Amino acid sequence: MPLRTEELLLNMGPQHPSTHGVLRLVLTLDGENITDVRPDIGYLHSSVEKMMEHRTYVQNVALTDRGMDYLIALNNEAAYCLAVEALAGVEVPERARYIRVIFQELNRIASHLVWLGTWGIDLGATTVFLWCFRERERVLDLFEQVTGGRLHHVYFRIGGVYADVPDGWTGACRDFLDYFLPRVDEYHQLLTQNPIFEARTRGVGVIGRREAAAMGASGPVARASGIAYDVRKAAPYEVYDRLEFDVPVQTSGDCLARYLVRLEEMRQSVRIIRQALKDLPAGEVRARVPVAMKPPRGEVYVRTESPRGTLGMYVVSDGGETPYRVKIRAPSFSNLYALTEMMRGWKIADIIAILGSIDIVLSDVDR
Amino acid sequence: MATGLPPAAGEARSEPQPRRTQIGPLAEVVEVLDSLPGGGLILTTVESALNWGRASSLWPLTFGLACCAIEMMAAFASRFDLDRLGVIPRATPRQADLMIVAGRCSIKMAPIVRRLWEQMPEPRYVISMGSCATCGGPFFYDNYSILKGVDQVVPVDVYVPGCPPRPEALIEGILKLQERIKKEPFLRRQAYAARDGQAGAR
Amino acid sequence: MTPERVAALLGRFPHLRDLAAEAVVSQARADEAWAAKEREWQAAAAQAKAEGKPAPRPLRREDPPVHRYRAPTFEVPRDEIVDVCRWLRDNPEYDMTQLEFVSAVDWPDRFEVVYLLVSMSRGHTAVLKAPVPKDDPRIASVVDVWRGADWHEREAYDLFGITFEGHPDLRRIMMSADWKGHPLRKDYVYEDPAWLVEVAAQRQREIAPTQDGERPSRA
Ligand code: SF4
Repeated sequence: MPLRTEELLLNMGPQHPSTHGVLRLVLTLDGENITDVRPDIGYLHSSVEKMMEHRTYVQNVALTDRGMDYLIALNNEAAYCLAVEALAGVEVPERARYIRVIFQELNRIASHLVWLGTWGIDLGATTVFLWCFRERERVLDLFEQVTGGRLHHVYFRIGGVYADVPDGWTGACRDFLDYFLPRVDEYHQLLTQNPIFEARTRGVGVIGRREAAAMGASGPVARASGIAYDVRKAAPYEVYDRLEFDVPVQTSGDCLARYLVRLEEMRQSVRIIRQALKDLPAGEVRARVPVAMKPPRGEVYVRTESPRGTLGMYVVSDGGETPYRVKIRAPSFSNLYALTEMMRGWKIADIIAILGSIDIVLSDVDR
Repeated sequence: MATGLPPAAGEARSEPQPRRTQIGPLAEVVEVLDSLPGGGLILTTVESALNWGRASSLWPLTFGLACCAIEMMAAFASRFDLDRLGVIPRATPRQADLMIVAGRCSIKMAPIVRRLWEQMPEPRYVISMGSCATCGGPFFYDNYSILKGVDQVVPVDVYVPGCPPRPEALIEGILKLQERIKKEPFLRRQAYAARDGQAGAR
Repeated sequence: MTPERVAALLGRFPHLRDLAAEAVVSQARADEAWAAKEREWQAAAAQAKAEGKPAPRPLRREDPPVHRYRAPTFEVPRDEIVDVCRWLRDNPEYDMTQLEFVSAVDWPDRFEVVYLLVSMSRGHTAVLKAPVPKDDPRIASVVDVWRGADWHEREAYDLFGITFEGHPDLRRIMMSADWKGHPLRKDYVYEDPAWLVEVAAQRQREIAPTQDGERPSRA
């Protein structure tokens, strides 16, 4: 007698400890195997794009912190400020550009640490979580000394940064870098050489180069699939063209590759910050910009490399005090779409490993 | 309990069941104790012992909505270490007695928050963490998708202000809640409610 | 994009308009007009000075009504969008392997569907804009060209109400399925959904003070 089998529809989320927020996955299962996955998003849609149309250009900086990807507030601020500066033709002082680079890279480290920690928990390695958050607290301390905030800073302003870094901060930052670099090796020791970790990640959730590009994946997800593309290199902004760093690329496109890319990125960030601290010029940190600024009519699209991928800001001005339209090109949104391809054919136990490895932040997906 | 909420997408809503209280024997205990001279005193002592136990092992539901959830995670992690207060996150509402609504709650998410709260066993507590969960916060004006205060759908016990509140602030909120739990005549109220045939204290 | 590539694209699709170049032209025209005005004023001022009269009022320059672009931007008629996209993707000279986003802008007289294309190998970007009329917001879907367009088109459908014909699964993505209206349109007015009003009212009743003025301690 033939065995009668049926497809099973499994609902995961919106409240699930490993969906990293409010994501709902509707999985079609054939036994243990995933035949289809349909993410259901929008549970954190916060209508920032609409709100930005009702606030002045200067006020909107605060919204980019909160409404967009909240782990990388400074990278969001940078993208938005760059867009408005390009629109209004504001010149940013040299020193401010270097400070912005330093802070964006610190934020990249902090964001990758949160990712590594939470992914570690998902895979059953609680130690990683505690270690990563230990280091992250030190980054947040550095932020706090300058911006006063841990998560939301409103530190970058149109035309520069709010205030110069306090005395002694660069020294503290160097100390942190010296402390942090060996920690990356520790993570490698803890995870990369761990056979359980390897078994759960190597060869799991593969996405090929071609699919990754067609599905819009960017950032570490694309680079793990062999697409050597980094906006910091391809279309440098701020002062990235003057700094030396490598873009880590892996070709296998699996969870392990994404993990290795990110760990290497943390090392490269340390390298970038060291150079920027060395070259940090003296001078002003903020250009004069009227509070009620009215950029001329026009539109601009600025792309930056956020820790999650290509973060774009498309700002349209109609000559008024508020933007006419802001479109945020969120990297997680496209990367999450690539998930549908990654998961097909894997077992139910791999869901968490794959989902964690693409590093989504739901606020970035839903905005 | 009819809540008037629409069913979450893709699920059919079951008919609301009358809530049954599980403390029948307790009601008897209370009645016996109360009939004794000085029995009320004993009960109060028992109650404070129980309350002390409840307050020292608050199990929150791991349930993060937005930015505030990151600070909540930081509160659970190395530096702040909420475990020392007996606060240990649980992944399912059935085992949790505290819900920390950390972050902005969208209108699409509101029915789910409500349902999670309904799934938690009584006595249950809610901490609203951050200005968004409290009143909409930075997302109050010109906004079409965020709920302006999660207390529109679930009752909140402690509000923690801030955007985001620092982990210390969350810890303070939890301490406040513990104080409140220690003082609460919960057992007595439950027992009387059961005796009077009401459907539990809410 | 290099000028040659722009020219080749315009040669292949004659209905395309190169908005960036047009903006440059009209900006130059506006600059010229302004310079002429200024010259006139200077002449008048010099004359007034010679005659000992007070100088005429200085001129104030108003922003010229030119919409400026900082990336190669093309206006595409809506029935050609799929052809243009496919050509840009398949032609190795352009190699637009990635679609960064699809979205829309709500102008007073039309919707503009915006496509942002990126070539990872050549390092250039292009913006395509397809105007669609407000009373008939339809356009062909480009999901067949880039799979990644799927969610972006759903989002534009959800928030702007633009129908992408040929999309395999055009549903709301951000708002819940029973939401009314398309929130990012300029004329959208927010209204609390009925169930929320009801639930909030019920909660209000629950925490209302009882007769003896006491609030229920466990509301
Ligand atoms: S209160 Fe602030 S930090 Fe918390 S969720 Fe709202 S915006 Fe984010």
